[in-house]
Amino acid sequence: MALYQKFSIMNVSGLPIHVFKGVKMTVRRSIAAIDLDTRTIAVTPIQAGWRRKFVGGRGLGTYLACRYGAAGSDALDADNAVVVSAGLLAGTLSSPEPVTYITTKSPLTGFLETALLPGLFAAEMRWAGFDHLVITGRSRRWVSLCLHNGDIEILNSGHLKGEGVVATSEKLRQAHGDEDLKTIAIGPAGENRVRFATLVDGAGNSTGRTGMGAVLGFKRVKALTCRGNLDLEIQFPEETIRLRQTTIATARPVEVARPGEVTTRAGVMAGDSLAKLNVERLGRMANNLGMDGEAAILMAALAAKDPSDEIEPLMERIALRKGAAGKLAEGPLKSESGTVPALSQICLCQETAPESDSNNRAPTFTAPPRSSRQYRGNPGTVAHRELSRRLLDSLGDRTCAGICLKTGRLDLVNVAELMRLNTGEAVLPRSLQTAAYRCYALERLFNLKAARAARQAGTLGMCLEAPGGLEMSISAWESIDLATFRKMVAQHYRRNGWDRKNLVKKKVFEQLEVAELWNILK
Amino acid sequence: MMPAKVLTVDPKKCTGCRTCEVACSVKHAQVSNPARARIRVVNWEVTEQFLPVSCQHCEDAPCQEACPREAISREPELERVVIDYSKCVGCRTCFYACPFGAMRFDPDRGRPFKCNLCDGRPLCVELCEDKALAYTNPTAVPYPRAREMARVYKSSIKRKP
Repeated sequence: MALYQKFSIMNVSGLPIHVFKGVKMTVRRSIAAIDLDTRTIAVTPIQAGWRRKFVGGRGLGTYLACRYGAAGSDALDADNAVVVSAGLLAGTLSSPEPVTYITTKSPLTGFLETALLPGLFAAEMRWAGFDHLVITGRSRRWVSLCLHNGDIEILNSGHLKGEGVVATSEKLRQAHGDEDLKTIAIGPAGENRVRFATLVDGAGNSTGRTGMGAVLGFKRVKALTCRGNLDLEIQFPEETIRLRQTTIATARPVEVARPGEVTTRAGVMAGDSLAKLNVERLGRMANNLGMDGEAAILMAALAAKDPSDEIEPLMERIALRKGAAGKLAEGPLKSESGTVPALSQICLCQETAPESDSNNRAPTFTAPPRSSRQYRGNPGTVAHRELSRRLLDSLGDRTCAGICLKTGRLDLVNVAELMRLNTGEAVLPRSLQTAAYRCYALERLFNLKAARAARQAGTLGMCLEAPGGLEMSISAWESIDLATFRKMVAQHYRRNGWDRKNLVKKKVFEQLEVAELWNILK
Repeated sequence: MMPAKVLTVDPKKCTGCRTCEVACSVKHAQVSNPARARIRVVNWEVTEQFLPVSCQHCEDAPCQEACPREAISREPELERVVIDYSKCVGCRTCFYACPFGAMRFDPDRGRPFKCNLCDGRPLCVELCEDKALAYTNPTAVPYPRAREMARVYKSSIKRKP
């Protein structure tokens, strides 16, 4: 008997597939809008204007999250949209390490966040005919979304509730009879809306912080599965092969993070109480429960009287929100400050992290900047890095930088050439810079609206509201000069033409060519 | 005469990135689609074990023996098994005969396809950054393993003072 009871199968209209010389091709890139309330799915090709303005991947994902999500509502609300994106080059030779981008309002920070999930799910999404999934509403039952060659099925997955991510992925593979099925699943932590719950793929890669698992858990989506064998058209195959050969021939060895660093950094914050723990084992446990390993271990260790004995059961109680551990499941920002010592330090690091994406925001408490020099430089350098990363994330792979770096900076001419060879679309380097800036600015506009709504509701993070909060002493951040930091923020705003007066004026939206978002984000 | 080279796989080095599959499909089918690749990465994601599988160009190739039209033959220069599409009728007998599952079938063309070693310059080997694939002299294949074993043994030998 089949494990699954199909209660809704939507035949997708407007499939991005047609037969061309006997070969199926995904000649058009497509967006699938999945409404869990009404169980309807609409697939539309990506508009040419959107391609030009946002490129794809994180850029277009951010726009879709702004357009379909509600900046003023809570992250754990049916109105909050989750956008799952594959980059423009995912699945091609120019993207050796594709990344899946999950963009939504984070239940951990209350801001628009993009979590990066390394692995081949993004490439498989494109081979299945989809570039972006926009998931809105909330299902009445636990479901999994199954993507396969241009079709999307919403399958009943109530029997998977309570399962860890490893068992979930395995059961899904068995049910589909496909060992190569790509999966993204949430664990018990996501089901119980732990605010640092993650999404984990079949290979054990996770989204890290930002609590994306809690958002899918709220929507009752236990997993996404994907399998595709549609052709992905490459406009100039021989040239892309030649470019890849050249890149490999000239590649330099990559610096790999030293093992054990996490233990050391976490130990700094937790008074070395973690140093004696088997962090690797605990990390695996947190991953299976669907929680961010570093956040879960650190919070449990700080709350436990004797971490070596109590940490594992405490982590499980956090994931299941049992008893007093339920408060810890609210994450560092929303836990009561008296419950866990040093929580305020953690949330300060989250709030003041130099970057907003999942891989760089919260880890500041485990991987603080190597030197204070990073905060004394020209804000233009910081802006260039921010824009470069957003552009690479729109392409779908930060390792593309290896192809496009020139004199230590991202060479936009090379990026444009990379896009032309793969997609046939000719773009100006200047347009790419504008597209990256548009993504960056949209995040800021969304977050300003979110912060305004949170301030009115009195739920803004305590660090931002607490008088003198920024002056708190942080062992890992002692080197930061607050006056310099504030000066740099002011400079950064001036460079972008932003200030408190005109930041949210309609003119700003018109300049970004996103006037349609004015009514949503004003 | 130098023996022809062979395609070898080191599963310990393979990271499952599937670049070989994409490269193969881009080169031979001008599209990115692992289903059209002549090489396939069999994976066990949970245990992070990966094994690229392609045509072994067997000495006594079952596909060659099974082919009723004698469309499959052995090419002596590159020591490879090739399909003569002017004789092939697309009966799929070779597809069923291959013990490695390396023979694949293109439903659009109605013909089987398999690795042809890219005429002596396999692209999958060129683009494998982790060096899990190699195109090497068959007599040299076991040597790295022998040397590794010898290195372990050497460290256990105590020299006399």
